[in-house]
Amino acid sequence: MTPSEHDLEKLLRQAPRPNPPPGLRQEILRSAPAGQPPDHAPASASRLPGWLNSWRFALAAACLALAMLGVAAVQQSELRQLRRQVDDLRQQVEAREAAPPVEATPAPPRPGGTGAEALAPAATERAELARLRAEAAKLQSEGASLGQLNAQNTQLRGELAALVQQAMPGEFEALREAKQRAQRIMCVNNMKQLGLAVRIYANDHKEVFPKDVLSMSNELATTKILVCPADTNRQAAASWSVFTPANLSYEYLAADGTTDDPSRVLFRCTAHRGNVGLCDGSVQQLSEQLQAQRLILRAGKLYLESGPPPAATGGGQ
Amino acid sequence: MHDDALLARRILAGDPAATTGFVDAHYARIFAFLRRLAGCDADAADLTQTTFSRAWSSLERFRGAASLATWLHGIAYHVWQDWLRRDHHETTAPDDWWEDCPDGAALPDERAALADLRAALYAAVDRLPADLRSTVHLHHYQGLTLDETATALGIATSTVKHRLRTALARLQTALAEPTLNSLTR
Repeated sequence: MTPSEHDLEKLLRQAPRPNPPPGLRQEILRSAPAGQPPDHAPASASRLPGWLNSWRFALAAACLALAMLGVAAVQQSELRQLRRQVDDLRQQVEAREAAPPVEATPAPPRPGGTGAEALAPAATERAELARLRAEAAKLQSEGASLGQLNAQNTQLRGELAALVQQAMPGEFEALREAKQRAQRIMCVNNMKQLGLAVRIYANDHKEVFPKDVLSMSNELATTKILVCPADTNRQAAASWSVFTPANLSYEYLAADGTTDDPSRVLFRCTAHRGNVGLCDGSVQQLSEQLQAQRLILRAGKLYLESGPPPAATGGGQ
Repeated sequence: MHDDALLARRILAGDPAATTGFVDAHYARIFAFLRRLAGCDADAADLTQTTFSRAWSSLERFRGAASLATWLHGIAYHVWQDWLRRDHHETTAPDDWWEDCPDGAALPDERAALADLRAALYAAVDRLPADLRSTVHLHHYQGLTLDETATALGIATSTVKHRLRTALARLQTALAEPTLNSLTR
């Protein structure tokens, strides 16, 4: 007769313990730390006070961030100063352009200075003005080429849209169908994992199923599998602490169930009504016709009645 | 946990009473764990010494997140895995090794069948794959809880539960079949 799991566990807990050889304890004690003053162990970390030791990495990161903020503030102030200088210069240039030409009458030499010294600032300003004009012309030409590029881009987009509308309606249909098929498969996978989690929970709780999905959070690795990819009205909860029924695409229909009812429906997808997970852990895909024929409500519980093998539209997973 | 962290600091400070108490509390248990896994007294003694020397060098990083016993089992498990990988060891325990282990008291005649079952069961555990075997050893033989076993192995508690269920199912099958072939499949 095969012993039960309980008997096996009992026997395993009574396994004999091998005795260590003589001398092993002495060898281990000999290799033990010889002893350092408590202030030196561990070497660098414990020189700091306890709270500072445990926060040292966070403090280092905060100091670095502060230093970077300081550098950024200095750079910003320098930039502002430079912009002000540029504005001032621009206003001076504009004022000079607006003023009447005075070139015909040379300025009288200032007392105590030569004529060449008085003309030098005016020459510098003229050179600056010429440079600014050249830059403005360059920017204007770049702006014009940018306009051309934008026009070309718009034209190409229009051509592409026309091509797509004319040539590929069939391919779009095929793509949409492939996407829907992939979503159905992902939905079946989700339900398989949910069924497995329920059975693991039941195994640990005297074959009784969890009262709700939240109760088996220990058996589920992620909340993402609680949302069917075809269900666009729901989003996966970021964590179990913020989980609500709004983050669940699957109806849990066997809250009071046990593993003795294999054909009872455990989960049903709200997006794919034909996808049902059963208490035996299997997942079935049923066409609308098979749903009407084989899903039977008995005493408030939904069952999948056995019948002939499903057609091409339905099948077990 | 706080007491364990305090004990770790006392050992690091060179307190002989703390060191002796720590070694006495754990070395026989760790030796038994490694002896069952390695299948040889000499190898198990070497692995136990390696475990403790690694423990001494990493004790300053012990923060008390798990108990010292769990932490030490985790080190022992990694030491055993390193040993397996480095020397390409396979299970060396013979089938009758368990019969030679001291059991504390002689079995009466009417319990001979139970003794046979025990010997077959322990030999069957030794034939389990390494991941299932180490989980059974830590949880059932060493008496660690599910959470402690998970911490020592560095895996999730649900994985520990799954491995234990799989191991028990395989052991049941193996005890029903005299050839024990199903264990290693």
